[in-house]
Amino acid sequence: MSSEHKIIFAGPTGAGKTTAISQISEKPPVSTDVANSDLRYGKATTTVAIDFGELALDGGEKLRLYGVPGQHRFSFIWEIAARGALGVILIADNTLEDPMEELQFYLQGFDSFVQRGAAVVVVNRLETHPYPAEEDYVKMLMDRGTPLPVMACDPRKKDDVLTVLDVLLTVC
Amino acid sequence: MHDDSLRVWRESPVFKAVCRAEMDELRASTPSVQAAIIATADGFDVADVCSDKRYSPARLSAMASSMMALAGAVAKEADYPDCGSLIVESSGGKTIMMSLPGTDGRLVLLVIADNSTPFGMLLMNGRQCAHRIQQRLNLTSDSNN
Ligand SMILES: Nc1nc2c(ncn2[C@@H]2O[C@H](COP(=O)(O)OP(=O)(O)O)[C@@H](O)[C@H]2O)c(=O)[nH]1
Ligand SMILES: [Mg+2]
Repeated sequence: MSSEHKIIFAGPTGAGKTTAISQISEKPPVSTDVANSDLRYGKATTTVAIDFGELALDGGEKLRLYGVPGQHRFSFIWEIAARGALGVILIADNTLEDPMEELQFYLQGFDSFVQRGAAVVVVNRLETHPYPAEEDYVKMLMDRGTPLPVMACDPRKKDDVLTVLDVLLTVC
Repeated sequence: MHDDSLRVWRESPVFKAVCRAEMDELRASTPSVQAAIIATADGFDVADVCSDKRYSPARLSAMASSMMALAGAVAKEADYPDCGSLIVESSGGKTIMMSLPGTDGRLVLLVIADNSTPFGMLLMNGRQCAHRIQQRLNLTSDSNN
């Protein structure tokens, strides 16, 4: 009984989508990062199409991991990448001035997943930026009528990312 | 850390003017061309000449950068070093994307044309436009790093 699922990683630029996929992909991921010229983001490279990685789970399931660009000008890719996906991992960047407000854009962009509960919200950099706390995200999601699991995660840590995937597969 | 040459190009009035002049020349020599845009590899529009307001240089530039990056990933998968150009053939017309010579793939020329010019000629005229921009702006791969 093996099956294949497509999982999307979304969220603002610099949240760690590309990093998360590179941590857990079994093969070197397909990368579409190019030199970044946008001073709003302190990054040397940025994803302009997709990241793509693959992961086989112990139960025989295969995951195809798609990361999409965070910048609003690339939102046309989201819809293309989301076709046939099982669920979405939304990464919030807690270093932003208003990370919960920024997250709204991605919650709307993946509304069909969010509405049917096929999404988890992941909060990064909590060790240096503890607020908003996980509870604040939980409450915000309740208030907007779309409760979702919320988790802390450091996208640089493979085990953190695997735990997030586990939770997503449980709710999907 | 940021790609400063890209930002200089994005913001230079001279750079934009040269690009626009050469793309105007392309439209004059090739009437099937409906729009031509120079975009950065990270998806910003630098200069454009469009026949019609329905073309959005901002959207097309984001898409051109995504397409070139994906095509580059396919080339890499085939063990080829880079993607020089990419062609979209449609019953309505053709779209060509090519990396601007001398920019290490950091600038892309996008040309949208209807089917009234033979394809070989469209491709050749597009390439010549890209080369003229390179020559007029002295773009060389090692001078822009
Ligand atoms: N210290 C720390 N760094 C993080 C955390 N999450 C992401 N990063 C770093 O932030 C950067 C994110 O870059 P990238 O993966 O390209 O982001 P993307 O735009 O979402 O694909 C990487 O350099 C990560 O190492 C975190 O929780 N803590
Ligand atoms: Mg990325």
